[in-house]
Amino acid sequence: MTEPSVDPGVLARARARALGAPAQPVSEPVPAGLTTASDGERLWLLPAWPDGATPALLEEYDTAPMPMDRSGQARRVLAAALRCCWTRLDDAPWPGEAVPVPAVLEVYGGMSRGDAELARRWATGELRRLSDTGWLLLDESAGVVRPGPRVALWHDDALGPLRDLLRRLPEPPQGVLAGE
Amino acid sequence: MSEPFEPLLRSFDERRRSELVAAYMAVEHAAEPVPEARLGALREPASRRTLEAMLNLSGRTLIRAGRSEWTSGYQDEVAEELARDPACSPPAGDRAVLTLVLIHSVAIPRAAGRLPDDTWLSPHPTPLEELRRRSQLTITELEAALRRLRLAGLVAQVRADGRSDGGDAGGFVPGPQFHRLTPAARRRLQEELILAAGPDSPLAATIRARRRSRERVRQEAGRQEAGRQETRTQAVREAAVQGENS
Amino acid sequence: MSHPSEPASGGPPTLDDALVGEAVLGVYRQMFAALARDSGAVVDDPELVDVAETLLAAFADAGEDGLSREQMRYVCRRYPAEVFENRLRVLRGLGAVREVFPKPNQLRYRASFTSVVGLMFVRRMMLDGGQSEMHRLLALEQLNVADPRMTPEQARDGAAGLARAFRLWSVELLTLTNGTIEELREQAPKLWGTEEILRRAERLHGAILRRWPQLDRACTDLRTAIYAYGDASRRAAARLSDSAGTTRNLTLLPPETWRTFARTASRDDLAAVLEGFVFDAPAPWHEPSAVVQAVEDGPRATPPRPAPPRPSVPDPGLSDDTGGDATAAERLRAVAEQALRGRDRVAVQDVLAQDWVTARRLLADLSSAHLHPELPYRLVWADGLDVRPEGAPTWISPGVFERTDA
Repeated sequence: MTEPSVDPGVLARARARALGAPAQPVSEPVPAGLTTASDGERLWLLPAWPDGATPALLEEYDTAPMPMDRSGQARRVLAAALRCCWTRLDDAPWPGEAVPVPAVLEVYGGMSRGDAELARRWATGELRRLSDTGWLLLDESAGVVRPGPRVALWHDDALGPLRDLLRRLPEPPQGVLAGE
Repeated sequence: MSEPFEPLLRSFDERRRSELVAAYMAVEHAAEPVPEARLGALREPASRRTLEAMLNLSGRTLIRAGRSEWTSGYQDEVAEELARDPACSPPAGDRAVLTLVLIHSVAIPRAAGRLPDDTWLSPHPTPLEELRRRSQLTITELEAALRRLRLAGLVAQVRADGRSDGGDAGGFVPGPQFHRLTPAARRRLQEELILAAGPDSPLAATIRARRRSRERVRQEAGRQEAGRQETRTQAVREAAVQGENS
Repeated sequence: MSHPSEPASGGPPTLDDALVGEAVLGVYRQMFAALARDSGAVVDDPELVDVAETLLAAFADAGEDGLSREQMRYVCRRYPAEVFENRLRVLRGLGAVREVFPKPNQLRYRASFTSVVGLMFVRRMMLDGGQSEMHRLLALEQLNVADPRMTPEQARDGAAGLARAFRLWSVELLTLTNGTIEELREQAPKLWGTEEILRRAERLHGAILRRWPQLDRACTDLRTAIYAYGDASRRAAARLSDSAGTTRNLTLLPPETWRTFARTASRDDLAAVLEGFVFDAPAPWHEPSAVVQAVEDGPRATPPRPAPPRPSVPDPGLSDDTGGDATAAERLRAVAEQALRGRDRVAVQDVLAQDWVTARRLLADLSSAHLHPELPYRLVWADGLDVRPEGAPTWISPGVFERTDA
């Protein structure tokens, strides 16, 4: 019995969407038609969009993307994480560096007001969600976080204001950064 | 990184090309189906065909919602192939909770005549309290699953409208991803629910019988195809032999 | 078994009420057609049955003393006197209620057991069109077949009765299957046989045939009727499946079946429904400018550090919603000056005392002015949160917007 077979390249691209940003060892062959991000050890498969478009294009057509809870908070936590992990701002944010989670929470605490403990708890939840969606790579057992493969989808020419902003954000305390 | 799209887009002028790209990004990433009035490339059948080809590159297809709105989803044969890998489906706990939401927000209101539309989206939220009190799942399982399902747009949370005069209390409804099911996937979802909740009903018997006969037809077709190939190979071999002999 | 039905409270009966009433009467007419003397013999108002039911329930509670006329009137007090009198006359006339004289000169009434059973039967028939009755009948016949006292004649009569019931069911289903899809969708669930009923019927057929092989004719009839019924059920289901749409057939299982499944199914049974369905992984998009915007719009606790050197590459500025950096800065300066109105500092809660949308926009602008490296303004927040139940927003942190000496 022969199954109607689907082209393996098509299947790989569909699979990448169903799984988010799946990773594979760098040694494995890379399916065509996908953007990839590698940290030397693993390679993540990301969507390839036509003509440099990103989902931000939807805004121009008054079209809402998938609703997101507390997107402002998520993005502020992402900014706090990048402040710590993206140390050489003139380079690309990917792959960046792994830093202790407390450093990120410290920077985020400096960006928010009110109950500091509550802010840390919210931020921890956001770190997990950002990690689930490929924007960060969170290693909870090691207590470290680094940029996720999705930041490799950012175009360099769109990064100016973000670099500028990160320069202005407070630095993580050196003690926490050293993991002390 | 437009290489895969290049052969499809090459022949269009700049304006048509950017319309196609915008429509592609919109149907792939918008939460709700996109009205064709908003995007030029969705209006004309010819450019919809190009759009369909662009989507097909990733195993996706255009799905019409309502009369003139469009979204995208997995092609049926691609979804079937992906489903062989359990990693491509949500984990069992999430699926269980999603099934409960579908029953409370769609099946029961449908059966009770309170949901007139033939759709998997629903204005009737399933209260968390209902799930907690009347299901076999624990509150921890429920809450963890609902969090993940919300993040993925598989359920949406509806807040209580604050008016207690008969307005629905808050709760969960099937999320925007249900727009993205193909007609065949929608029908299958209906069948799976009926098989699970009423396995003894004549309806379930019909569904099982149809699946068996479809499977038979498919096997038969597979055998015939194999047979044809066999004949072709045979013919080629004979031709080759004849060629050598002549 | 009482079926409380409040008399319609206020307002004239609606068309819906009338339709429900008509459906109920339809069942009554069918139920008693075999017994009726003429078509006028069955009640013409469903409420009349409620009166009878109320009375019968009261008799059950009263025990062997029965009820006096006054007691009967009392339990039926929510019905008009003439309705009550009419009912009592009919029930007495048909023997459902009898007069007894426990003592000389004492008139009491007692109810007949048969009428109560009859009503129970009617109510069940109304629920599922006879499905559960058929289950009971089959179970009962199965017991009878095993009873040593059962005669072959009784068995033949039983088999013939069941065959007749199955045939009539099939005819009704087939008629519906050839009619409109809407009517079929509505009626089929009451008429078609579950696999359980068919299995039971076949089991019974086998039991009769094994015990009385001489009844093969009656048994063949029964089996033919069972098969015909199964076939009619499948045809009805197939016709409905063809017109299924994508959720329409969900209506064919009653709400109670869905509720029972949701309540009792294990996690794995529930999960199995969606096995093999593929969805998109969550993939929200965070555009760099949106990250910048979120930080600008966010609350801040600490004053910013000194402005860093501007990057050599010109960038569109922090607020990219207006043309260039210069225009954006000018707009922010105007907003800031309007808020300060000549003063050097102003309490944030004072300038935000407007509707929330305007306040939010203003706050975003003040934050942007504060963040803008070339503008001499600063937003300083104190700790704590003031609750303002009547305000918009309803809470606010004390803070000041002030001029820096840059």
